Amino acid sequence: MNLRSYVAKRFLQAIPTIFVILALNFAIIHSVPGDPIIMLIGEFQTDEAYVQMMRARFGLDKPLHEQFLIYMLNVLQGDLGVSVSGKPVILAIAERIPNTLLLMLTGMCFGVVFGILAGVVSSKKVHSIIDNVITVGGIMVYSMPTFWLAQMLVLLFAINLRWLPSVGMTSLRVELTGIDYILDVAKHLILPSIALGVGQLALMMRLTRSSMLRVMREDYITTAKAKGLSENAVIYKHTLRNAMLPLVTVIGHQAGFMLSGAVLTEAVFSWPGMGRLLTQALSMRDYPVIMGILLVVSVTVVLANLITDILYAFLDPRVKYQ
Amino acid sequence: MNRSIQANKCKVDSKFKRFSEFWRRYRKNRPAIIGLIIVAFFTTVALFAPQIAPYDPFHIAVAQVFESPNSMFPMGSDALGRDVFSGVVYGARVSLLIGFSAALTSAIIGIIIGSVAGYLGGVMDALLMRITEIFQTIPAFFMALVLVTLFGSSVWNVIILLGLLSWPRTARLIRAEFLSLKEREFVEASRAVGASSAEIIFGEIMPNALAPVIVDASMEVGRAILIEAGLSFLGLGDLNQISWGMMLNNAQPYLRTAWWLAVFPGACIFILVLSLNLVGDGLNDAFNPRLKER
Amino acid sequence: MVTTTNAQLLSVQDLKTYFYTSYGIVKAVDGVSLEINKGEVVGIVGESGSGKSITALSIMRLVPSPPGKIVQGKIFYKGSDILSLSEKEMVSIRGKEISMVFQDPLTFLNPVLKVEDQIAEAITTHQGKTKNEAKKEVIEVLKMVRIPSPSEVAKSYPHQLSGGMRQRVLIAIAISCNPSILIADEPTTALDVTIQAQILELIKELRKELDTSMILITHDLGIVAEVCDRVYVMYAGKIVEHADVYRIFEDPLHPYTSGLLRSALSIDQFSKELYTLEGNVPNLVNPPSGCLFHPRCAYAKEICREKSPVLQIKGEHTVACWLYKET
Repeated sequence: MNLRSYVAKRFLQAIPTIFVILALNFAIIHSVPGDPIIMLIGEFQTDEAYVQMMRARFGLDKPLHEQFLIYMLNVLQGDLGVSVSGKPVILAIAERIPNTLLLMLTGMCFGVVFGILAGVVSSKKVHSIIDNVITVGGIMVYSMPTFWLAQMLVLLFAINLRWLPSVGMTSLRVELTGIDYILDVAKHLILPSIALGVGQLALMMRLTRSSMLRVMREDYITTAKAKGLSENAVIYKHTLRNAMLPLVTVIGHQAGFMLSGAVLTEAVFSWPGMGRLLTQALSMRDYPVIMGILLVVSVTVVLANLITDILYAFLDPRVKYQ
Repeated sequence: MNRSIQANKCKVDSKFKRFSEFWRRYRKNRPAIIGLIIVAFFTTVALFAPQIAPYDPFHIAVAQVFESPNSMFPMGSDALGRDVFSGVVYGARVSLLIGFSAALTSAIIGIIIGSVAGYLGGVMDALLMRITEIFQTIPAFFMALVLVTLFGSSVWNVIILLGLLSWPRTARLIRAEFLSLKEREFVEASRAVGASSAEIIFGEIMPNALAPVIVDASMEVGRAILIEAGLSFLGLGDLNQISWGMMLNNAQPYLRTAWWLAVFPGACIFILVLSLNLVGDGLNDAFNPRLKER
Repeated sequence: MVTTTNAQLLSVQDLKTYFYTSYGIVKAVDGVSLEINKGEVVGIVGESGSGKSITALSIMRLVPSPPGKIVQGKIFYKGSDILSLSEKEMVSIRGKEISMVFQDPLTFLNPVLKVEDQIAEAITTHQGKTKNEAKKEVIEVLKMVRIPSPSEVAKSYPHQLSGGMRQRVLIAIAISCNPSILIADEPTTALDVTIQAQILELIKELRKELDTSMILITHDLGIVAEVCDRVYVMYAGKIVEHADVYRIFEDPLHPYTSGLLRSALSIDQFSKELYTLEGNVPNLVNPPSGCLFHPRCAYAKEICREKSPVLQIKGEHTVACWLYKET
C-alpha cells in the first residue's frame, strides 16, 4: 500500500476513536450523580428560563440515544456548553489554547533537541563517565515530579538568582508592544518550558541512546565506514538518520503527557493557558469547562497520534514506496 | 504417591535455584540494591509513622508559623505552624499505599484482560485490543483530574481510578507473552498429556509471562505516586490525609519566604520514585541477563 | 593483463586479531600472512568461522572494537604499515585505495537513502566533486556494473531492488573511486544460484576492465576455480595451504584442502555417497592442542596432537602440515 492509501486508512481509523471519545464524554456527563444539565451549564443556575433553554438545546428530555446524537451534533458545531461565567466553553478554551501551545511547543523543542544531542553524545562514548552521568541524570529527571522541579527552578532562578521571572506570561503593570513584547514573553517562557520539557529531554535521551546503539550495530554502518566516511558523517548521516525514525512516533505520542505536564507547570507559574483554566474550573466546579477541556484534549491527542503516524510513514521510504 | 512428592520437591528445588540465581544477578547491580534499601526505608517509615513523627501533622500551632528548620521542627513549619517533618512522615503512607495498590489493581486488570486476549485470540482479541488502544489514547492524568473531581477524591477512589487508567500497558505485555508462548512446545506437550486450559494458563504460560509484568508493575508504582502527587498538588487529593503533593500545594504561595515547605516533601517524592525506578531497572536486568563483553 | 612480479601491493605479515568475550579469548585470526600483487585475484577459502572475513576486516581496520582487537602484525600497503596509520589517514584509504564489497546486500545498504546518494557519498568524499558531478558519475558507475536503466535505479531505494541489483549496487559503491584493491567478502553467497552466476560474470568482466586487484573471500570452490589466480586456504584462524589455483585443484596437499575439494566434487560427479568432512570447526576459545585440524584429520599422527605445524614451502605450494617435512 502506498502513502496515500495509508493516510486515508489512518484517517478512517481515527473516526471511530473520536466517536468513542464522544461517547465516553457523554457517558461521564450522564453518570455523575445529579442532573446532567449541571455538566453543561454548571451548578447553581437560578435563571429558570435559561436552564430550560439549555435543556432544550441539548435535548435532555429526549431518550438517551437521541440525546447522544444531539450532543454529537452540537459538539461538531462547536457547542460545548456554557461556562458558569456565562462564556461559551469553546470560547473560553480557544482563548487559552495558544498560550498552552506556545508553552508546549517550546518545551517540546527544548526537550527533543537537547535530549537527542545528549543521546548521541552518550551513544558515541558508551560506558564512559559522560555516558554514565547522562544516563543517571536522565533517570533522576524522569523520577522528578514536574511541578516540584518547576518550584525548584523558581526557587533557584527567580528567587535566589533573580535572573528570570517566576509568574505569568507577561510582566504586569507594563504595556509592551512589538519586539519588546516578544522578548518579554520569551523571558517568561524560559523557566516553564524548561520545567515542562525536561521530562521529554530525559525520555528522548534514553531513546536516542538505545536507538543509536542498535543502529550502530547494523551492517550498513559497516558499509558506510568502508566507504571512507569520516566518523561524524557516519554518525549523523547514517546512524542518526536511521535511529531517529522510531523516535518520531514517540515524540508525537507524547502529546498527552505534555498536556498533563502543562497543567501542572501552568499551575506553578500561573501561566495563562488551558491548564490554568482547567485548575480554576476544577476548583469552581465549572463542569461544562471541565468536560469541554477533556474533550478537546482527547481529540487533540488522537489528532497528534494521527499526524505522527502519517509523518512517520512519510519519512520512512520503506513505507512510502511499497 | 511418592513419585508426585518427589516431582513436587524437584519443582520447589528448581524454583529455589532459579530464585537464588535471579537474586545473585540482582545483587550485582548496585543502584538497584540502593533503590531497594531506600524503598524499604520509606516503607518502614510509613508503617511506623505514629512512632516516628513527633507531632500530629495537622496540629496547628499559631505561635510557631513559618519556622525555618531548627531543633524543634527539623524540616521547619508551615503557615499554620504544622510540622513539616511529621507531614513528610505521614505523607509516606499515602504515597506508598496508593502507589502499590494502584499498581496492583492495574496489574490484576491488565493480566486478566491480557491473558484472555492472548489466549483466546481471534475476535475477542481484536475487540479487547481496540478497547486497550482507546484507553491508552486518553491522557491518564487528565482523566484522573476529571474523574476525581466528579466522583470524589477519597483514597480508594484514587486507587481504583489509577488502576483503571493504567492497565492497558500491562495488558499489552501479557498478551504479547501469551501470543509468543502459546505456540511453544511445552504448551503442546502439556496439552498432549491432557492438561486443561486453566492448568496450561496458570501452570505454564503465566510464570513465564510474569517477569515483564513484574518489572512494569514496579515502574507503575512510581508512575502512580507521581500522578497521585499531581492530583494532590492541584488540591484534588484526599483532603483528610496529609500527602506530599498536598504539602507542595500549600508551599506554592510561600516559595519566596519559606523554601523548606517545598524542598522536603518534593525531595521525598523524587527520591522514592527514583528508587522505585532503580529497582525496576534492576529487576529488568536480573530477568534478562545480557551477555556483556569486556 | 601482464603481471609484473614484485609489483606487490599489499603484504599482510603475521596478523593476529583476537576477540575478548565473556567466554574467553577467541583467536579469530592467529598469525596470517599473505600478499597481493598488482593485477591479481587472490582467493581466501575456508568454512565459516575460519577467520577469512575477519582478515578482510582487519585489513580495512573495521574490526568491531570492543570486543575485537588487532593484537599483532603489520599490513604494508604502498610502503606504509596500515596498522600504524591514524584514523584520519585510514579514512582516506578506505573506499579510495582499498574498498570492500560485503556479503548480504539487503542488510549492508542503508534503507533510508537513495542508491545514488549512497554511491555519490563515496565519490564526493574522496574525489572532491560536487554533488551534481558525483550524480553523473553515479550513472557511469551503475553502467559499469551492468545495471539496466541506471537513472531509474539511481533514484530508487534499496528495498525496491532485487537481490542481484542490490549486490551490483554494493559493487558499484566499492569501485566508484577506482581502488587499487577490492576485497569481496562472499559476494554471491546471499544470492540465488542464477544470480550468483551473473555476479560472478560481472566480477570477471570488471577484472578485465579495471586496473584493480582483488581479494575474493569465499567458501565456494567453484568460484575460486573460475576467477582466482592464487588461493590461500584458511582453517581456524590460520593459513594451512597456499598455491596458485591450478595446483590447489590438481594437487591439494593439506588434508583439509583435499577434504574441501572432495566434498565439492562429489556433488558434481554424482557419486553415490556425498563426501563430507567429519567433525566441526573447532571451538576457538578452547582450541585443540597441536594442529587445529587434527581431530578431523584422517592422517593425524602423534606429533599433530602435540605441536602446531609451521608453514613450509613444498615445491610450488606453501603448506602447514606435519605430513610434509621440510626437505
